[in-house]
Amino acid sequence: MANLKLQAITKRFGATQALKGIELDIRDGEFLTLVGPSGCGKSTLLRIIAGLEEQSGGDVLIADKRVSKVRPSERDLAMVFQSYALYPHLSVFDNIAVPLRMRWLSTWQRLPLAHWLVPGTRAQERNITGRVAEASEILGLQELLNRKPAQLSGGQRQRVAVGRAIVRHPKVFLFDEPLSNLDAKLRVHMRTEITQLHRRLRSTFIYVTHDQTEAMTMSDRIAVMMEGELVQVGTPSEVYQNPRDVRVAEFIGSPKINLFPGSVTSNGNVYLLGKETALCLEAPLAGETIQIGIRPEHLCLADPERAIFSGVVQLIENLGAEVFLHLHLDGGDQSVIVRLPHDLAAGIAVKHRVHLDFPRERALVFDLQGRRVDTEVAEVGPVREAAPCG
Amino acid sequence: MRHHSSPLVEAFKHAVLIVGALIVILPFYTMLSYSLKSPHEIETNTGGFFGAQKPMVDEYCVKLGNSREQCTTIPVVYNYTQAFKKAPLLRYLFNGAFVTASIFLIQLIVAVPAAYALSKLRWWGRETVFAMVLFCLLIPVHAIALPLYIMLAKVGLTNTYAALIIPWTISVFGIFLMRQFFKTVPDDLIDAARLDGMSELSIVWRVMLPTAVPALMAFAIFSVVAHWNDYFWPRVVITGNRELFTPPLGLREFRGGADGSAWGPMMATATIIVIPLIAAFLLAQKKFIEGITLSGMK
Ligand SMILES: Nc1ncnc2c1ncn2[C@@H]1O[C@H](COP(=O)(O)OP(=O)(O)O)[C@@H](O)[C@H]1O
Ligand SMILES: [Mg+2]
Repeated sequence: MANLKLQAITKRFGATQALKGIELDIRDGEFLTLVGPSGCGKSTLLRIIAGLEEQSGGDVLIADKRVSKVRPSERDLAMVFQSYALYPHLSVFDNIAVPLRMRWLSTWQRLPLAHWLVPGTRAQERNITGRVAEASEILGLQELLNRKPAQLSGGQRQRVAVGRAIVRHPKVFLFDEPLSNLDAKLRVHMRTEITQLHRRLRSTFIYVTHDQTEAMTMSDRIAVMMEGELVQVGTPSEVYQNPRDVRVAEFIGSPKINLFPGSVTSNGNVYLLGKETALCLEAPLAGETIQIGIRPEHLCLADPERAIFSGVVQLIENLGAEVFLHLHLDGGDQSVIVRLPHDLAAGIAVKHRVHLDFPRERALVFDLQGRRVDTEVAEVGPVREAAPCG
Repeated sequence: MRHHSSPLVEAFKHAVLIVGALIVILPFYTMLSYSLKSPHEIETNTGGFFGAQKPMVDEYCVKLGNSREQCTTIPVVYNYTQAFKKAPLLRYLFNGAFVTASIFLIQLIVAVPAAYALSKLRWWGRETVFAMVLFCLLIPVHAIALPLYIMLAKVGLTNTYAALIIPWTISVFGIFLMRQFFKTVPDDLIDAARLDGMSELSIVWRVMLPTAVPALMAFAIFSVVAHWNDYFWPRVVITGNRELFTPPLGLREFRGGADGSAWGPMMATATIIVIPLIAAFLLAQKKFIEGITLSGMK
């Protein structure tokens, strides 16, 4: 177990700057997820941590020790790859045993026939067998130990890859999109398995994914990456409820957050689609265009005269417990998604007009550069009362 | 769905293939048939494939002072015993096997790490080196035979096994073939091996080589066939010492002297020489398919 520090990590590939100064402290035993769209540099960062790629600048510290000169195998971390990367010619047992054999046996002891002649080989092989058995029990692989990877299903291969990582009890586990080759059902299942594994091993987990659901459900903390930068680091609920950047707000949360064009007056009052909102900025930002984000579950049905906007239902997605309404707002080409509990959406059908409002404190305001701006709700005001679903 | 062409087109395709197959098989047919027949049958072109196998008298044996009864055999036995008697064929076969195996092994020891470096490691000048490999593919052996011979003669290596082996130890074809195959091995597999604690050389021999079994088999077939059958190079560097003859050189022993060519024994020798190749090929073919299925690269 160990903590891990990234200090001003940069990486360039020729002309492209893949990482632009990553600063991150990962605590001992933490489950940290690096999440971001594909191509934002997550794998590159993970490979730099593992030592498989050399950073152009900055430092990686594992357990407070600088590891730039330390070879990947000596950094005491294990990695699970998206493609599983199992040795195709070795059985499941041998695949899991490789990291131990490479560490515990001498060159002579690894030779096919000579190895029994070297004293101590038998004892070491017994230790290895014990450790492989322990790992395969944790992952339920006992029945498969003699198979070759080609004879396994995707989920089983995934488990073998995890087994190969856990046998040698490393300080840090790195996962690079380990679930993205699995089907949806298995993905959900493996999600809980990996979380349970973390709880059991109590090691530091760094988990890379482009799937925000995985990030939200599994992690202690999420680090959102965009275009080679860390945009926000925080617990799942912090990142969801209090995104510091419009890209984070858009990336985290499904269905996607609704973004509306807005503006601010010189005294800080926020206007949404030209309507007054009773929201005002804490710090002035006069005369600028802004964006206002409202999550689908924060929009609610309202009386026509009190509603802040109305629209026509284009599509209804019924998920059983809840319903997603896709609306087209009046007078413009703005589309909106509303998430309603099933009962509230009962009478609504396609082509119906619905009227919407939102609790003011839920609105997220972003400036022109996409940075979050803090707002407060005017203490008294007619619109505040009009919010029926606060 | 596969497109089915008309029966006429199919018939034409098959006819072309059959003619092609016949052209390839005909020399083998002749070789095998001659190795079974008596000299008289070969000269008069009678006796069908097997020959009549009428007992015949070995005149050379009679000349040595044996009785005619002792020297009477049937042609197939005569041909095949002559093959072993007239020249030390077993010695030649051993030489051939030793030289071919040594060449292939050393080719592997050179080509596999080279191919790994050219396909999976990033280093300055890699593309240039690969371009040179491609360029070397274009150089015909015969063009550099003379300089090679002179070099070997200068260091006094002619008429040794070394002369037969050393010039072939770097196979650019092998490097090229393995490099193309290694390119298809996922980088993740190599990174996983590095994290598991393997050195680059361990990766080459413990990961790359086993995954490349199909390519290896293909290369083995090319290399072994080429050097087992090679007549040109052994003829150049082995100039007197019969102890070092490879099987194709051994065939010359049956070349016509005063009493004409001994076709029967010669073809028997040729048959014996190709049998190991055919056997090896059949074995390799099985392994080849196994290699593909085991590596999970279907
Ligand atoms: N070996 C490489 N050579 C050149 N560019 C690379 C290399 N590896 C990654 N990149 C580039 O770096 C960026 C980040 O890649 P990556 O870390 O794989 O993203 P992610 O894992 O988040 O999808 C991409 O623009 C990619 O094209
Ligand atoms: Mg990636």
